[in-house]
Amino acid sequence: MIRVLKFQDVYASYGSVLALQGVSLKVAEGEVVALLGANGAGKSSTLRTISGLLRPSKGIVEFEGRRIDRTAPERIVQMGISQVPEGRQTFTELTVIENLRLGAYTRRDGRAVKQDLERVYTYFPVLAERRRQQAGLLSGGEQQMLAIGRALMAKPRLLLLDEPSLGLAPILVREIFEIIGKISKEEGLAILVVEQDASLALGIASHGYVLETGTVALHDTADNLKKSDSVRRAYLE
Amino acid sequence: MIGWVLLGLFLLFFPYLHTWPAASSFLDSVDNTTGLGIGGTFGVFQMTTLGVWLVILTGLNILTGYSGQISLGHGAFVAAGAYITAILLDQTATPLVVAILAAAIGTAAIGFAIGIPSLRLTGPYLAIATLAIIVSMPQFLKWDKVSEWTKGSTGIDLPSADVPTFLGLDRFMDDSQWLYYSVMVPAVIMTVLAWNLTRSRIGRAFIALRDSEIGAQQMGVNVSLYKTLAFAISALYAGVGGGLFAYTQDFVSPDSFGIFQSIEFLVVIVIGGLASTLGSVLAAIFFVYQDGVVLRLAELIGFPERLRWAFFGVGLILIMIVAPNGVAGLVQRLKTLRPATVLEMLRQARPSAMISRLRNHPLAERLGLGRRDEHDPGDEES
Amino acid sequence: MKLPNVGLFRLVLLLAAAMMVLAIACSSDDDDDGDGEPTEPAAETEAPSDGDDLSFIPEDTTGITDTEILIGSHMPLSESSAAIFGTQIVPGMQAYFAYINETEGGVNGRKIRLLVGDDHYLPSDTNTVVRKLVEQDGVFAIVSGLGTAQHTAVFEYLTENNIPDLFTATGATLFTDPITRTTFGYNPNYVQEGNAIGTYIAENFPEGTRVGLLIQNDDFGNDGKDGIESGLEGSGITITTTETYEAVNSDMTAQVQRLRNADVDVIAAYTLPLQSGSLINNARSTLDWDVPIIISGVSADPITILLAGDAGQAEGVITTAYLTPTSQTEHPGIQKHIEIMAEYGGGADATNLSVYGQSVAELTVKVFRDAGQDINRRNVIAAAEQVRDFLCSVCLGTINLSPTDHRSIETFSFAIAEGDSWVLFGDLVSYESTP
Ligand SMILES: Nc1ncnc2c1ncn2[C@@H]1O[C@H](COP(=O)(O)OP(=O)(O)O)[C@@H](O)[C@H]1O
Ligand SMILES: [Mg+2]
Repeated sequence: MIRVLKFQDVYASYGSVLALQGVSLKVAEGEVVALLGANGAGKSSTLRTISGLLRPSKGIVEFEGRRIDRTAPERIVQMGISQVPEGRQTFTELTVIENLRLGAYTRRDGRAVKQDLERVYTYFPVLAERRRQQAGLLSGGEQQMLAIGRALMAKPRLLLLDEPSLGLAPILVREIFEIIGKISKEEGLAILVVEQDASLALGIASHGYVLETGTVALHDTADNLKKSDSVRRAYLE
Repeated sequence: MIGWVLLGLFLLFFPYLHTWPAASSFLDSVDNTTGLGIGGTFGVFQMTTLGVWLVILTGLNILTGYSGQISLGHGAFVAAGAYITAILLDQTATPLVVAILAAAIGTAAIGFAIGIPSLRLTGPYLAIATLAIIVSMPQFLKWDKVSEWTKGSTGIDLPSADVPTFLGLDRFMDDSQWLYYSVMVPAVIMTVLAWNLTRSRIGRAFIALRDSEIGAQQMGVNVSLYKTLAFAISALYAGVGGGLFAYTQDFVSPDSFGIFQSIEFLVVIVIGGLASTLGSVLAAIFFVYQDGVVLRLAELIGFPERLRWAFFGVGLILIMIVAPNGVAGLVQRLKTLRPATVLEMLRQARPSAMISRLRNHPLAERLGLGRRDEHDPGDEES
Repeated sequence: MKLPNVGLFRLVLLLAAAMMVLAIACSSDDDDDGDGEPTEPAAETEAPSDGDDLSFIPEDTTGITDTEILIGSHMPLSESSAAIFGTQIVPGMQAYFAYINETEGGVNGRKIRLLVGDDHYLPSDTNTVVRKLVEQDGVFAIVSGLGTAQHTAVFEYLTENNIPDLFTATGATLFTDPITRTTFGYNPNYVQEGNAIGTYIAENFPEGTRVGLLIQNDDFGNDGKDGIESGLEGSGITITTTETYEAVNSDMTAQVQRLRNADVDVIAAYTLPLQSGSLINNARSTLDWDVPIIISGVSADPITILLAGDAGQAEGVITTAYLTPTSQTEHPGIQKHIEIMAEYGGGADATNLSVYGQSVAELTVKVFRDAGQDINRRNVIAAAEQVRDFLCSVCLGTINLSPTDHRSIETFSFAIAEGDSWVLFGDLVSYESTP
């Protein structure tokens, strides 16, 4: 399997607050990896470090064999990593289609962008229905779909998802996770998904990492993690 | 299409309209009833100043409307452009166009430089910082080290603009008509350019970072670059507008750019319509013509003209509630408006709803008066 | 970093191209005589400024009808702290014109109607309101346009179009020196006033006295300083310290402290009422310093005494005055003014500034009357240049104008703070330049 992302002994901090204290993880091509952990464990910080918004003070971040730990965020997007940030961050005053077009901001291949737009619509038919509507008027679930669709428009090879279930009703969350699984399979897209709801994430992931106060406490296959006592106690019950 | 041609023809022939008796008496009667000020040579002058403010307000709308950064001191950029132009015209033999070009580049550079520290400031803090710039500007202009060029508190008095004899132009137009074309041509070009810009990649990047900085960053937009770029472009417009201001007013002084005026810039683009080229045009129309109309209104219904700002305030709040996208947005909405929607709006017109609309207005949010919580309407439904 | 702003580059390029086209169009913008305004009478830009020949001014009667003389003014009425001037001067003028219209049927059978454009003390707005008054309302003349920068913005326009520009409300020298035949100043200029203050110090303080100045950082302050320096010349008294402030700043604590540290013996100040008040208050109460203080007549208003703090703090402060203060209630001119304001003032109070308004209106009426039944723009200028020994009802000295002197008030008095008002003292000081 080809390694898409390598994260080796990474340290990162916000001023004096140490967020990551030697985190190592890997994501391979076409694989969904779950990142679990309690609030404040460093999950979002890990994603931010990958997408270049947080600079590691130590350690190595590699994407497809190239160091990216000193690369500008917009360059990282161009290289093929797309993030769906926590809280979705859609452009509320723009229409759905304008949001999606902005997703392809760094791309110059206009024709392919059109095709990708159609593909996003097939994954999320509701976005096609509402393409002319202001993003701010969409429901929470629809906005989450839009945020994922927008990230897909950048044609990434690694997709980072930060708590896609936040503030959504359970049925919607399941639907969204189903679609995420489907996208990964059909596109051969590597996905790193942060989730508090471990059972959902492990349902579509092949591997999982459990973070605790900035370090990896546990790493195993999804099946093993689901069976693991500590994970069950902490996150599944 | 036909509308554009008509508008073009109107702008092209406007300065000659008042020399045609039938049209002239029509314009005068409009003025007499509305107080607008579109007839006679004064009408031409007003339209000329409209061109100047159009350039300036279009620039401010790029900064505030599109990139979402508030500048309460935009007059300082205008002053920079006006002074660069006036100094070059006053002390060197620079041709007008070169002087204005220099003003554009110089002011854009200043805008870029001011844009960099502003990256660390958002919302109300940025507004206050820009306000500080306009407040301290007169002191700077009177500073010993620069007063040799700026002429200190006296200001720079330029000879009034005359129609050149080149190509026998002076046989076709008088000074006021010449001034009109020398302003209107660049004003129209810059408005069209702004319209293009806002629909380009750059424009989309501005909108993206306005709506969500994090989102924009995730899309690969270089947020710092674009925030400063918005300042620079906006300043470039202010520079050109300031240059045209110096040329049409033939006088600039530290008193020429007041704090009230800078605040009024912001008020009129909110009324005209944020993030809309039509909005900038309406804002400029409002900026130039409201004085006369308010005066006439004051005469008719007998409120003191001094209450103009109270009138402004009430108007602004109403617009923010009823038409968050300004009059331009209202015009767009009218096309699709059905009686049922109006009834629905009226039905919802409870005070609490109005206040929440006010707090949700982009301007209120940027000034820190809006809601602070990262709340989005979708959550309630799901 | 890869610059993604191809659009911007294109924008700059297009802009440059557009400018080039324009550059070619006006590269020969160097002639002066191509004045072809169809609606305005032919204007000679180079007016002969010597001799009595006013023939370059057309005998224009714009604004004059059988029953009316329509005039205009630009004043700050709102949106600026300078609005305190406009909102008091205008009622004074309007009240006096109404009084003349009512009691005398106007001037030579024509009623005077004054339109005031509110320029918010913003020169570009002055330009707009004055053009509107001239081109749309068709006023005969501009009277008492207020503000130096504001009037500068329209000075050339009025001159080029030969519009009588009567009795500008500023003490700046630039409108009357050199002389422009159509423009007349009103206020005594700050250089003359400064000279009087300098002379006063030279005569009343011993040689070696250390003079400290506090001046506003603009033409007002600089002209005043020039005047004081000229008045002190040859007296053996010199200015040892000069402190400045910006008009937006009203707290003079730091400046006064520095004057104290410089150990000056007398303070002369070109300050507005707000700053004058702060100056006196800081010296007297904060520093407990009884240094003699002399301030410009611009601050000769009861408000200054009020702003100086607790009763008595301003006592003994000296200033100049050229109009009778309203505090002299027994003065017949002031009594009449109070009557006129009560009857025609539309509710406005009689203040020193409304007195000012009336005094300008009186001079205006005098000049219009002298121009006669066939009043026009040329003969009104001629009439103004012939004003001799005119004493308005509230003036301290007479007004003399001539082809070589367009300064109206050149005589003033000193005044001293007593209680809550300014009391005139000493002889009149005259700088009259018309023989
Ligand atoms: N912007 C920030 N400034 C300072 N500290 C932060 C910031 N964001 C997160 N942290 C801290 O970093 C640690 C990791 O946070 P985060 O990565 O957001 O955790 P998680 O996503 O797992 O909830 C926490 O202690 C948190 O308080
Ligand atoms: Mg998190």
